[in-house]
Parts: sequence; C-alpha cells; structure tokens
Amino acid sequence: MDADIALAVRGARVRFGAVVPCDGVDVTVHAGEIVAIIGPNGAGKSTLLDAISGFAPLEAGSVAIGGTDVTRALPYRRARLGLARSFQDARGFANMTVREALLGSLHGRFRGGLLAEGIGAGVARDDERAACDAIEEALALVDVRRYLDVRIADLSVGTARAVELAVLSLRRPAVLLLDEPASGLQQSEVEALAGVIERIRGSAATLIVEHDVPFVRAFSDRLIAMDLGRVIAEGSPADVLDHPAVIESYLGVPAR
Amino acid sequence: MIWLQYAVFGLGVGAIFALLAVGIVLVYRATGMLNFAHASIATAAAYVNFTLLERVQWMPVGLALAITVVFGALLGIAIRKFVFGPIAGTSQVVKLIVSFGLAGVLQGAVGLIWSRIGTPTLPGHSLFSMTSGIKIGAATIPSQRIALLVIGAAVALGLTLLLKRTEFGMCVRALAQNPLAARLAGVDERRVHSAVWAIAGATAALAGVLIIPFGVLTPLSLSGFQIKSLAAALVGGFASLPAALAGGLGLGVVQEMLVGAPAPLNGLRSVLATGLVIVLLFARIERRFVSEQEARALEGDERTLAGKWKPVPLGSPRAWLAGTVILALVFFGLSGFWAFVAGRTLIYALLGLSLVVLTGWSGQVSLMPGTFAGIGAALAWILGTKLGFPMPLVLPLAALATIPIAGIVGVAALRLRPLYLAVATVAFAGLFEETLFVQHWFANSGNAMSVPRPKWIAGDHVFGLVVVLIVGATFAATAAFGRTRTGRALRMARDNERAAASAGVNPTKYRLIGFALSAAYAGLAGALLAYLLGTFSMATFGFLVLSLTVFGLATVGGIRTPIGALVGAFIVVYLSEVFRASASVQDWVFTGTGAAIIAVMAYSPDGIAGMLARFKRHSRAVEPPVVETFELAEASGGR
Repeated sequence: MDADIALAVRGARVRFGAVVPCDGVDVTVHAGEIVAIIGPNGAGKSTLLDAISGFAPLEAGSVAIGGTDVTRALPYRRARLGLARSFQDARGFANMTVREALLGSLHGRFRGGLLAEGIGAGVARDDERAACDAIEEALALVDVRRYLDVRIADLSVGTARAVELAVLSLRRPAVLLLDEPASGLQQSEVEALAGVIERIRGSAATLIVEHDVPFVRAFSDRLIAMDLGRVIAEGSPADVLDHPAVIESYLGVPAR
Repeated sequence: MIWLQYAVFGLGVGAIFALLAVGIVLVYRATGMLNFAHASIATAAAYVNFTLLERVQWMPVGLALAITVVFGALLGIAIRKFVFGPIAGTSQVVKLIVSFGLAGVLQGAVGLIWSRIGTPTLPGHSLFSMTSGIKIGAATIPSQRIALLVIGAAVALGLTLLLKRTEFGMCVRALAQNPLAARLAGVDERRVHSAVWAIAGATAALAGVLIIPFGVLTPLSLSGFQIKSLAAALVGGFASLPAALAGGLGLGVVQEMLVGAPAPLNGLRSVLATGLVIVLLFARIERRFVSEQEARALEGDERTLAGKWKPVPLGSPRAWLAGTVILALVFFGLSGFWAFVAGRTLIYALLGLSLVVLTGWSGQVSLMPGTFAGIGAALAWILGTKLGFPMPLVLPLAALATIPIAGIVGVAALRLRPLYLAVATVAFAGLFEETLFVQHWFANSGNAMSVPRPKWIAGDHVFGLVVVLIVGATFAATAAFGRTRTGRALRMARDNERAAASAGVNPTKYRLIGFALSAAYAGLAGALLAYLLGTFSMATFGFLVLSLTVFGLATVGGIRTPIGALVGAFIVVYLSEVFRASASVQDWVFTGTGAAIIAVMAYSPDGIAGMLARFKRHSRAVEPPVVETFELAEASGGR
C-alpha cells in the first residue's frame, strides 16, 4: 500500500435503476497531486464525485480516504476524515452570510459540544474566538473580506465560487473534490481560479471534474478521460488529449 | 354473520377514507403540498349541503349533492388561486405551514358561519335509504352504506385510470417528477394544478355529503377523518392511488370489526389510524412507491426561498437581558390582571420560540408544540402537586422529560425530511391526546388539575416577575445559542443537506437536536403555564387549539428570529384577551391566525420582524448590494 495515496477508488460501480453511470472506475490521487477528470456530458464524472463523497451508494467497488475504507460511511463521516467537495451550483448555504459559512466550515475543529454551548462554558467561547481568527487564514488565500456580511444568495456566480473555495480551503482538506469549478465563469475569473488551485496544491490531493480542457491542462499533473461510465484513458495531459479514444468520445468520430 | 355485517359497514366508511385519501394523494403528487386541511373541505361542503336542504324546501337531495360537489370543486380552485398560488414552487416547509393555516381558516369559518353547535342530521337528507337495504341474516345493510362503497371505490378507481391512461394524468405525473422539464415541455402548470385542486375539492365534498347522515354535523365531526385519510394515503406512500384505496378500505374494515371485538381490543379503535401512521413511517413505506428523484422534486428546495428570505436580526443576548430587566421593572406598574396577561404572553412567546428553533433554524415542521406543552403541564401536576416537588425542581424536569419523547418521534421520522416529521408529529399528537392525556395518573382523566404556586410567589405580580426572569433568560440564551457552532449547524442542515454533510455536519443529528430542543422549550412553557393558570385541564393543550395558535403567532411575528416569537405572542394574546367576551373567540382565533399564516407566507415570510428589518435597512440605505464582481484575481496576488 502506497503511503502517500490520499484517495483510492477501486472498481466503483453506481446503478440508478437500469442506468449505470459509473461502471468499474479506478481513480488514485496522491497527496499534493492535482488530477482532472474530463469527458463529455453523461460520462459519469459527477456521479463519480457523488460516489466518492457518499451521496451515490456503490453497487460494487470501494473508496478509501488516506488508507481508511469509507465505502459504507455516511457523507459527514467522510468529511470528518478530510474529504471536502464543491458543488456545481456553488450556492451551498444560500441564507447564511459568507462569515457564517466560513465559521460553519470549521464545524469539525471545535472541541466544545452542545453541553458546553448550553452552559456558555469557556471552551465553547474560546472555540468561537479561534474560529474567527482562523477565518483570516482563508482570506489570505481568497480575499472575500468585503463580502463577509453578505448573504451567499446575493453573490454573483464568480464570487460565490470564490467564497466556496475559501470555505473549502479553510477546512484544510486532505482530499479536495471540485465539481466543474470553471463553469459559468468569465475568462478572467477562470485564470484567477487557476491561480488559487495552484496555491492549494501543496496541502491537498485535488480531483477536479471539468469540461474546460485548456483550463485543467495548465495545472493538472494527470488527466483521466471518462466516457459512458468508464475510464478510457489516463496519464499526462498531453498523452490523454492525444489518445484516439478521447478524441473519438469528444468529436463522435473515430480518430484517424 | 355479525362479523360480515361489521365488515360491510367497514367497507362503507373505509370508502370515505379512500375518497379523501385519493384527493390528498392527487394534490400532493401534482403540487407537492400535503394538505392537512382536506377533511375541513369536506366539513364545509357538508354544511353547504345541509343548508341547501334546510333552507330550500323544494330542493331534491340529488340536486343538493350536485351543487355541493360543484361548490367543493370551486373551493378547490379558489384554494389553488389564493392560497397555493403565491407559494407554488417554494419549499415543503412553507407548503406545510400554509396547509395548517388553511385548516385554521376553514375550521374557523365553518364555526363562525354555522356556529359551533351540532346540527342533528335529518332522515330526508340522505341520497339513499338509511333504513332499507340488503339483508344479511338478521341485519340490514342500509343502501346509503352500499352507495358509499360503490361511489367511493368507483371514484378512486376512476382517478387511478385518469392518472394512468390520459394525457392529463401524464401531465400530473410529469409535474411530480420534474416540474421544470414538464413546464419546458409545454405542460400548463397552473391549469393542471387548478384541475387537480378542483377534483380534490369535489371528491372531498362528495365524501362529506355521503358520510354525514351517519352522524351529527358539527364543525369538528369530520376532524378524525383527516388523520384516517392521511393514514390511508400513507399506505400508498402518498403516491399510489390504488394503494390508498386499499388502505382506506382496510382501515375502515378493521375499525368497524374492532367495534365488535372484546374489551381490551376494542379500545384500539381510537388509536388505529395514528398507530398505523407510526408503523408505516417506521417501515419507511414511501420507498416502495416514490423514487429518490421524485421525492426530492416533491419536497421542493429550501433554497428557492433565498430570494424572499432576507437576513433578520436575532437580537444580541445582552439586549435580551437588558429587555428582561426593563420588563421586570415595568411589571410593578401593572395591575394584577394585566400582570397575569403579560405572564401568559411571555409563556406563549416561549412556545413561539420553540418553533423559531425548530422551523426557523432547523427547517422542520411539528404540530406537537401544544402536546409537549401539555406534557410539561401534566408533569407540573404530577411532580409539583402529587409528589410535592418544589417548583425550581419541577420546571427543569418538565423541560428535560420531553426530550426522550421527542427522540422517539424523531426516530419514527428518521429520514427526518420535513414532510415525514410533520406527519409523525400529527400522528403522535393524536395518539397522546387519545391515550396519555386521558389517563387518570397522568392527566386526572382529562378533568381539572390544580397546580398551586409556591407560597412565596403566589401573587400574580410576583409570579409574573418569575416568568419574566425565566423567559427572558431563555430568550437571551437562545439568541446566544443561535451564534454558536450548533446553531450554525442547524441552519446549515436546513439550507442544504448535502453541502452540510460535506462540511462534516451530520444533518440527521442536528435535526434531531433541533426537534428535541424545541420540545424542551415547549415542555418548560407548559409547566410555567400550569403554575400561572393554577387550575387547568388537558383540553387547553389540544393540538389544534394550542399548536395552531403557536404556529400562527410564530409565523406572524417572524419565524426565524426570537424577536418574532415575542411580537407574535403579544399580538395573539392581546387580541384574544380583548375579544374574550365574544362567544366565538375560538373561531375568530382560528380564522385570524390561519389567514395571517397564509398571507405572511405568501408576502412576507419573515413576518413582522422581517418587515421591521426591511424598514430599518431602507431607512439607513444599507440594503446589501447584489455583488457582481469576482475577487479571485485580487486574491491570487503575485500573479
């Protein structure tokens, strides 16, 4: 067993009735590595992220985070083990302010429980103070300071994405899953996003699902191409993008 | 032979349950609104039918029935337009709250128009003979019973075919599974909804007219049918019409057979429907009928509210404490009577606060605040009066004792989706009212119970002061709690279950915490109310009477902030004191709170507190801007 494997998916199969959006997928991501999954719509990319984060039950196969098997674990358990993920709509907690969302992302780090809060014990208060300090950490990565007291529902798509990244990074995840982070962004915003992902690189194993190939090509260590629920190519970005099966799945014609 | 007779009787009444159940299922599938006011439509229709026959001498029974069914359909269309229309496309929680409001309006209006006193049903008022019919052995099954069965079953089967075989049915199913895709495919959502509500209203009216000749018509004579038809509908997972028909018939047969059963068994009759609901919830029956995708679509999306729900202030804990001190000082200036009223206001505010935590912060709906308050009051009687415990010990015990009960209810609805928790609370509220609240040891058999105040705080003034301090401290603590890790986790699970789980928050755990906490508040409020009233009976805590009032006050005040509970309690208690002399005060309270709930949810979901917050924002011109810029470029600094 490789010690620095942060995320290991083996033979993952997901079934919704007659549809099998993921059929025997293997994915390995090492600590500090950035891996991008590309593929046409319906390739099973987002379902794979759901399977890894625990929202789509596996019919066969396994998922391990940092060597711990989580195949049967509930989503919040996986999150406690260091898994963080974004959602395509980036509207996480629409009715909460940015500050609240940032504090909420520190949920797992608090020591005081319900009882301590109920009697207003010092430990709960210390936790809140520490959490307020910790927010600075995220603001150093993505500066959303101006919007701290704005409701997430009132943010533009780009800002909501930025906030989501700040929220995710604040949790110091061991494994970071990003679901189409560039969709709906303007070109300048996509470039800025690439910068932030580069900065997170050192701390987390990152798995990105994305349509925008030039965007992920810039910083990915490896690409995985999927089509119809299977991995059709895997390797360095250049190799995968030149792979005949990948060209065929994107263009719909066999590559000559 | 006697059993056969019971069974045929049961089929007749069961067909009525089925007739109501298919209406509930149809509306739920097409609009996502589980209608807790469905039996109230039947009640209103029964009164219309009675009035027609009574006032218009020449009116044939058949024509009266036809007019009444048309009335039911028109009532359904009106509900679609004025009640459901403004909240279509919002979350399940809002729809549930509005459905409670609708029940209040209909029940109250029936009471106001036709008075609360029962009307004897007259022999000439039934469509078919009540005396002659088919002979089975020595007994006669009246034609009306047979007509019930035939009509009920025919309508249920007809609607099943309508859903399965017609284009209209396909539109209904398409809207249930994916509203957006259905609209894009050209389904006229409003027309389909209107048709569905019209069918539901008409069938409910039919049920009301057919069943009434067997009993006496009072505003509440059909209230038991609500839970029974809900139980029948739940047999089909709120989705399958044939299963709902079978459920209704089965429930009717078992219920009538129990009438003839020997002593301990026949007592089960009163808890049959509530028990069935609880068993079905534990068995997670809906999984057999509804796919995960459809369930999500029907549940709606809390986030669709985001446009309307602006931030509301919680009030800082210090402000609440300061307010408590000021109120305590004001108290000395009040007369004894007003000190009593003020005490009642604060206790109702505490009940409202339990819904702020549950509905406002945790996104769930419960019809048990009245029940938990009743348990708290009964515990005050058992512990304080019978066992002689001192009040400072009784109050926390009454609050804590509700938590395990909330745990049981919560586990019954363990997927803890708002819909199933709401159904579970209705069932448990009914179950407790039928069983626990009539026990001699627990509730003095429903008779008057007295809980004397301790001697040192016996006067209304002094006791009111104690209430001020306890309630004020609870509000301050709650405002502080809203800002803690747990308070945030409640709101995270409310706003987005998946995102919350991805942040390490266990949504099930926090919903359970929200429910248990709200139960404890209600238990404390109930015990305080027992001491305040001195003498009371469990009727005070009837779930329609108290829970609906509490829902009304919390909604009107603003269900997401403690300030709202206080404002709402002030309005409701003050108005009910002013109109205390009126004989129909209860009906006015039902109608008023019901209408207020509907209006608030449609136009200002955060109630008065929301309006105040908006006003404040406008006057200072600090409305948070819609943010258009992207800030990553700045952040990535060295680029």
